[in-house]
Amino acid sequence: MKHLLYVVWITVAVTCMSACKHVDEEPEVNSGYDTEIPLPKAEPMTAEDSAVVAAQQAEYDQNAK
Amino acid sequence: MMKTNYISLRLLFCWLCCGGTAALTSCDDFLDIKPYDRTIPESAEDFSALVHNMCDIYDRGGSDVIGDCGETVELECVSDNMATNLSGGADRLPLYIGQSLSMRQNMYGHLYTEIKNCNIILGELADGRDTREGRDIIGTAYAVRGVCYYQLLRMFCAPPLADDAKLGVPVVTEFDMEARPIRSTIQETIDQAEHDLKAALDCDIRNEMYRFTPDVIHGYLARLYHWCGRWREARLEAQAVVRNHPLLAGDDYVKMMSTQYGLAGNKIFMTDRFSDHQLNINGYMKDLDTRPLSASLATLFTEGTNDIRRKDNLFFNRKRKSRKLIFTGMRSAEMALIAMECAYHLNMEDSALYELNMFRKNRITGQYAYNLMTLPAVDTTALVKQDATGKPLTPLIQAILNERRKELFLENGDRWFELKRHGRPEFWVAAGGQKYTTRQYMYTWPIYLMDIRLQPGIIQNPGYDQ
Repeated sequence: MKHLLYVVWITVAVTCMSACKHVDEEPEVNSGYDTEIPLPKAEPMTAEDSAVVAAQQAEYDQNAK
Repeated sequence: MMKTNYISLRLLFCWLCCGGTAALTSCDDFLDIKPYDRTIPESAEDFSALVHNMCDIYDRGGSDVIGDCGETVELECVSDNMATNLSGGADRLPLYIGQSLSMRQNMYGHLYTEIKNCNIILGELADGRDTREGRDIIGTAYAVRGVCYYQLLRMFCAPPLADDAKLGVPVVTEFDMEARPIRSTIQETIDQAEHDLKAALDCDIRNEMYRFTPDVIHGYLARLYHWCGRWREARLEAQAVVRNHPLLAGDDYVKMMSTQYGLAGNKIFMTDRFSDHQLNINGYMKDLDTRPLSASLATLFTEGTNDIRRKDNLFFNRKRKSRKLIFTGMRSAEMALIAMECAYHLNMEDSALYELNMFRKNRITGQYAYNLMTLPAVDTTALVKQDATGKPLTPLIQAILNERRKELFLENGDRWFELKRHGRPEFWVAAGGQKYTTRQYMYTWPIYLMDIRLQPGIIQNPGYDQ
């Protein structure tokens, strides 16, 4: 009986120690991670900004229509 | 009897244990994903097919190596050449570069996929390497790899002449799936692109089916040196191309610019060559109809219809709607503009001015020539305020850069990279009551996030590390 236990232990040990060659052997996980680039939020336009856009529109209306 | 049975059982058990151990441990590669020799081409025909497939993709558009009409339009729209504020974001065109940065990181991966293909060809093609066909295949692989590194340099690295230009991209010259290279210096990346393009030139590709003929490679070398501020070499390469493909004027120029498909006039290289992309191109042209040219570009055409580019609405109409055909490729006008800018930076102002006037002579009737007294004064309200070396603009370099801006409008997204080369100025566009700002860091696109995660040594570009 003792011999059987030795055989079992040796088998388990050999199996455990040799089954996996490298811990990172599996294909690398490519999901579950961010792939989006974070960007600064858009800012609300000020009155000054609106005036710049209005001036551009006026220039266009005057010269290109 | 019982003892015999017990011994038999024990033997059987031992055999089962040994068998189980062997079964569970004999195969140690069932999770390996490396295709050991199973997908590598073997014959010259296989490699030839691979190269022809690459060239076919360049011809038809859809590759990040050369670009295509979609990329050209997108980059034009996120530069200051289009009046985005007047369309108010109501069209399908992009507002600013920020919208596409997540997509642009993928271009990094696409370019390295192409580099991998080239490395397989360069490393594995053994038989027939010295035959004419072998040299064409090897030359094309070197050329494509060189162009990939040039593109990576422009897209994912700071401008080489800028103070913050230190990091290049990982240099990979062999097919090894286990390799995890980190970023090289910017000089190493430049050296690799130069080495590959020169190696391609040595192969002297003669079969035009392979696309990267010596003129094309000289053109790419001119672009590379120009981007890096190696003015003397850039000028020599660009002049070599212009000698073989002189500038056109008059009807010849109009005919070239009105030809959508094929290498008309002095077009040296192009993508979207075939009419099967007509629908795609038409779609982009229609989209552009919703967004006029910016005043800063349109008002540069001060000679009106004396400028052939304005005559008969060749480039844009009275409402500043684009009428120019989208072009992605290379033509000798770009080379002439590179040569004159290099002359300026080499302190050969007389040559630069002479070449600028010769260029304008091909485009403008009547009063086309400038002299140092009649050059327009520097526009202090312009977005670009410095030359490529960081010095303030002078009337001469401003005139050269403006000529480039006019001529290469809607070609290769040239203006976007010109802004990057000239100080990366910040500017904003408005849509829906919001202001979207193109920040300085956005001119250098983010390294592929997956690579950053998988290769801890790779440093992300500034602005994207949070």
